[in-house]
Amino acid sequence: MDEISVLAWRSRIASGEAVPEDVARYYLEAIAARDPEIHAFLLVREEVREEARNLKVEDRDALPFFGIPVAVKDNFLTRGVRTTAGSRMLETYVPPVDATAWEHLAHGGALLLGKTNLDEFAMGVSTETSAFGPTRNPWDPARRSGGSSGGSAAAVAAGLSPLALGSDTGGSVRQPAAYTGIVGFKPTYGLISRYGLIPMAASLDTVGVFSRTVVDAAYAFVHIAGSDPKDPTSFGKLPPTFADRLAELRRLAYPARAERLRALLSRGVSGTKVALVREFFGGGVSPEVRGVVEAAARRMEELGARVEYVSVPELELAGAVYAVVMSAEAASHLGRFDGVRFGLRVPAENVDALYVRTRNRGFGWEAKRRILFGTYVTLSESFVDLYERALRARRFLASRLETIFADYDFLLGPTTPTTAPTLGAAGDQGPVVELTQDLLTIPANLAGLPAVSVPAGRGSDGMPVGLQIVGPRYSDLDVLAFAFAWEEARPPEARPPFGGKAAAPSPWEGGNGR
Amino acid sequence: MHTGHEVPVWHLSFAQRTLLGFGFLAVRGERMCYDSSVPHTRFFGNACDAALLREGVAEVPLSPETWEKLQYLARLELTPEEKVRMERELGELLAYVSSLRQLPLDGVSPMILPVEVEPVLRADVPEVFPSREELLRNAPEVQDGAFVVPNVLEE
Repeated sequence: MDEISVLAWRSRIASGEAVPEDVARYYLEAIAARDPEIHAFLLVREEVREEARNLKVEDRDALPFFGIPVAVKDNFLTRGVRTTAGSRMLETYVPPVDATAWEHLAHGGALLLGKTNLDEFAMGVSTETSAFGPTRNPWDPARRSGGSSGGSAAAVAAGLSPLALGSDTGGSVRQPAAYTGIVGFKPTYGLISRYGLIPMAASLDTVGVFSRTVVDAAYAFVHIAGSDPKDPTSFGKLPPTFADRLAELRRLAYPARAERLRALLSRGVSGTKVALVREFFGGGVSPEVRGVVEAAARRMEELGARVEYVSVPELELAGAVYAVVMSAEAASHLGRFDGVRFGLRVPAENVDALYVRTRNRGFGWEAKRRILFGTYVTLSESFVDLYERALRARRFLASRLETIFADYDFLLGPTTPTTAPTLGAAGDQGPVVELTQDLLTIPANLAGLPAVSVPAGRGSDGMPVGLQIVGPRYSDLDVLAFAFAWEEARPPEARPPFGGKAAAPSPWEGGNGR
Repeated sequence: MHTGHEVPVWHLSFAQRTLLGFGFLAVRGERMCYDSSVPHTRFFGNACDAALLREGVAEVPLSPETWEKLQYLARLELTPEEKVRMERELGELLAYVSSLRQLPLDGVSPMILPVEVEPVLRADVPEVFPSREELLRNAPEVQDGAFVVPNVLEE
């Protein structure tokens, strides 16, 4: 059992072994000690001490996240707490509302520990496009923690927060989770409200969670899922069995919810049909990453899963579809930053010059490139040839994946082609090279599928390797159950922490402020 | 002043020119550039170097007119140095996404959202925003509860 998981803290709080104030103090101290080096946080809230003190003990059992501190990616609006999206454009922006996903956690008794670093507007693979400097990997500070949700991933991996929210548009939760050796879960599109998530590409953006264990990820997912009148894409009609199961879990309070969830996830893998997608093991994937993931597949086979190789050659084109669709949507969403209603304004004599100067200064390079490329693909001259073609190709790929799910329960593969690359390389890379970092995670976003990255082992450099499990729409709890089975079955050498410089979870020594 | 390396004008539509341009980029791996001082003229391969030296103009798959339009629509203006790099990166992206032309997409409808969403609209009931003050506090300039911008009307 992970000593600093959400459910470990929750159990100590329930037994009276710890009070919320102890938990808040533990994390504030961990952040003070470690974050100056890692830079996972853009803002840390000392106020959590007082908020922890003010929680009412009579709410202890009713609130699933009573006294649990949570780190939130800085593209989720948090009322009264500065939200920058990693951009100069929003350097002093203080939102007047809360994002729905965070609001659910807050209503469940969670405390906002801080806001985490990200690539500007979540556009990047390393947090290196953040206007406020990159986040370092807790395992090796010379390396990336990945991105765009690199701050959230590093915070959980280094033991600076038990849980974090992130957003995943092309892999921005799963990729950093793989690089930092933790669990990163991206649910089915539409299951979690995107209200208050500053959009990058609305048809691809999904709220996701980072945690140290699969059960924690499931515990958080169940709590924040659900339709929201403020997000029309969260109104999808759920398959009745899945809807009933979600509703059942959500009715339960702690500890019944945690127990029921653990029972649901403990169903094993016997009889499960798993497809290893050849294209996910292609040329760009390093031999050691391939080796670790194939070993994991063999282990699941021993436990009763049926594992076969399949080929979907068209998946090679997922990056191209993504580049067009994502840029077109991003260009449109970023149109709101005009220096009029919120954010940066660079004064000018007329309103046109005001727009241009504000955007020139407020946006970084990556954002400008996506805006210009997105504008290009939607020009009337190129719309049919580029944008509409990409939308057709998106359906084509989604139906190819659907065909595979007629015969298999899950797709299995590496989350990333390599272990975490070193920092500082981003400036020399072209946009296409960057796309390859997300190539294995993009298909799930295009098709709206649930997918999780779970630590699978480590490369010869000692860095974590992530195993990605992808399921059909609304198989979220099944995907998590398979990940849970792997987590339970993986050999000791495949279990984090793998060593390196990550803070080992220290045994709990506090309690009631003694 | 100009040498025989120059490729004369083709008066093609924009879409034709782009297609042709990417074709050269992808198929022949040949570099191509425009020179803003010589409208409607493109240079290929080594001729680009001459053009670049002459005027510091980049290799581009996009015409100067398209650039102007893009910058106007995006409300962005790049410096000449930024433009050189941006043109190269956009060219890479365009070559990369040209692979989509391989797919047999006849009869495949565009997929805009990854899930079929029932068109459920919330009730048309006015609500009071939780905090108008907090909303306006983020505006760069406010007067009497309204956003202030420079004059948009002709004098």
